[in-house]
Amino acid sequence: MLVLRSVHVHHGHLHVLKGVDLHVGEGEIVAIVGANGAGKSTLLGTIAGVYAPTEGEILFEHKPLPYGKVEHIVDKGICLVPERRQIFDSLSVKDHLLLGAYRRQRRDRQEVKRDYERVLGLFPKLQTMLDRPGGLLSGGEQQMLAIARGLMARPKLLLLDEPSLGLAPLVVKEVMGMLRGLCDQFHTAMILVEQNVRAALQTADYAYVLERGAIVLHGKAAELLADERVAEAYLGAADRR
Amino acid sequence: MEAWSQFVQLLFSGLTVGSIYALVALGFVITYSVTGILNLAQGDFAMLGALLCMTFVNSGMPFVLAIGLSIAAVMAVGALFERLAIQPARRSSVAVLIIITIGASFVFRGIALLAWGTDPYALRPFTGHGALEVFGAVIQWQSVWAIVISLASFAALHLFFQRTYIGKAVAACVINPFAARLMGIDIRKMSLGAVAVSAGLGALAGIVIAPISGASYDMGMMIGLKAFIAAVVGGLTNAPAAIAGAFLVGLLESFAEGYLSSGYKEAISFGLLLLVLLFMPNGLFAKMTGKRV
Ligand SMILES: Nc1ncnc2c1ncn2[C@@H]1O[C@H](COP(=O)(O)OP(=O)(O)OP(=O)(O)O)[C@@H](O)[C@H]1O
Ligand SMILES: [Mg+2]
Repeated sequence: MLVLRSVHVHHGHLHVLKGVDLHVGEGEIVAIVGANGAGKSTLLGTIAGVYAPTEGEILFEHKPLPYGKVEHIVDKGICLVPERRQIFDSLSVKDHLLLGAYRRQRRDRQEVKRDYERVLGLFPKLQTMLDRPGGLLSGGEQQMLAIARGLMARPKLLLLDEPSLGLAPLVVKEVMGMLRGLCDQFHTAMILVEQNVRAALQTADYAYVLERGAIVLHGKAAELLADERVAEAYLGAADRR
Repeated sequence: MEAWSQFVQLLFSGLTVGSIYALVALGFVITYSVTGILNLAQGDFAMLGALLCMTFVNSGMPFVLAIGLSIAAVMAVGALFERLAIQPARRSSVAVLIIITIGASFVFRGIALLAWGTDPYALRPFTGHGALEVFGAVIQWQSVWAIVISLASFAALHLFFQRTYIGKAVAACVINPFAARLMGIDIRKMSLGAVAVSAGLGALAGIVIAPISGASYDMGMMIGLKAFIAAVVGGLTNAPAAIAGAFLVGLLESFAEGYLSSGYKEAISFGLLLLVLLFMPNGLFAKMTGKRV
């Protein structure tokens, strides 16, 4: 459903993505792993319409994505849950979820209402803190809220940027463990960017390794998990738990 | 008893100008919170509102219609100003943007000068020329209107931001524009709306004060400056603090004028601005109130 063909992106003079090819199939979870500064967030931001590619093309459901306006890309069914969660400190959990459906709010109120219930069913923890300001939630709760907010847009493709960032190992397990079920239940595909390579590869179907703006390796997630090069570079002793 | 009635008189006159400053200061705060721009043409919206309303009324239009129409017209001017002057320069430096708004202020004043000349005009009070006597002080009904209308506006805005969906979307843009954009909130539309509403608040302020102090092409300058002081005293992004700042400025001015001499009036508000900027650049109420909107 999503195809990137030799996409290049610049931040000013900085050449960040140098010809990225990528493919995401219907209902698939695709992991993108790589070191700090490799360009992972830039890649997700480009798909979500925050940055414009300087070269190459991005096709979503066989059509080129409209660049320049993020909101049009949300309408097409792509939603980015950004790095560091980006919660609205003083807005309540409930408001976050309702605002997540901003583009659909006026069109189908009934369906938004149904989705609201479904999302809360998926994250029962949020159900108990609907009136709490987002800023007062714990890191794990904020991450769940960010994902829930993204789901409220009813994307066909959900982009998650480092959902495990700053979470305790047990919470990482909890969050990662939900992703597959969430994709199935909401019929959405997912691109998962992670520093926690092991967790990402255990969750995903397919994976790409991004290094300094280029894909250096890709394959089935299970195969990459067993790959020596990956083990050496990304599954070092520090990451073994 | 004489002293007491003088006190009440000064108190009310301070509250009256305070509520005018507060309406304009809220415009500063809303525009600044949503767009990050300090719009120094804010006071001129008050001037445009007052003069337009006066013209409409003199042409025989019913008063309420004239008020509504002039506010709508000034909101349209605000929207146009946002699209033509602010939006294209969005990525410029703060200094450039401020200079643009000063330029716009000159343009508004120039147009008003051509259309209405230099003479001040009078607008008739909303409800007759009668006055109210409180503790021996004579309070014009228009003062009561000014205070009531501004309080009603604050309440309406508060409800808008606390209770409505679109109000929360605006708040989201203020708190985290990046995240708001990712949810598909069009921040350019929000910016347009914010400037238009700020212009409308300014117009309302001008219309309410015109029966008391008249309307002229250059009235926006002083109102704008005082409201700016109020907004800065409140910390620029904090609406309740800006309102408090506006009443503080209004009361200080009124009492300085009454008890000292009228010469001290301006000195006091600008002195307050300097003190705040020097010692509490985040506003007088920064610690007391914490988070905004
Ligand atoms: N908005 C921006 N403007 C300018 N440069 C940027 C911007 N965003 C990222 N960069 C630069 O682009 C490069 C890639 O950044 P990016 O955030 O995409 O990396 P990343 O792989 O997500 O890293 P991390 O794992 O630390 O999140 C970095 O050198 C960064 O400094
Ligand atoms: Mg990143």
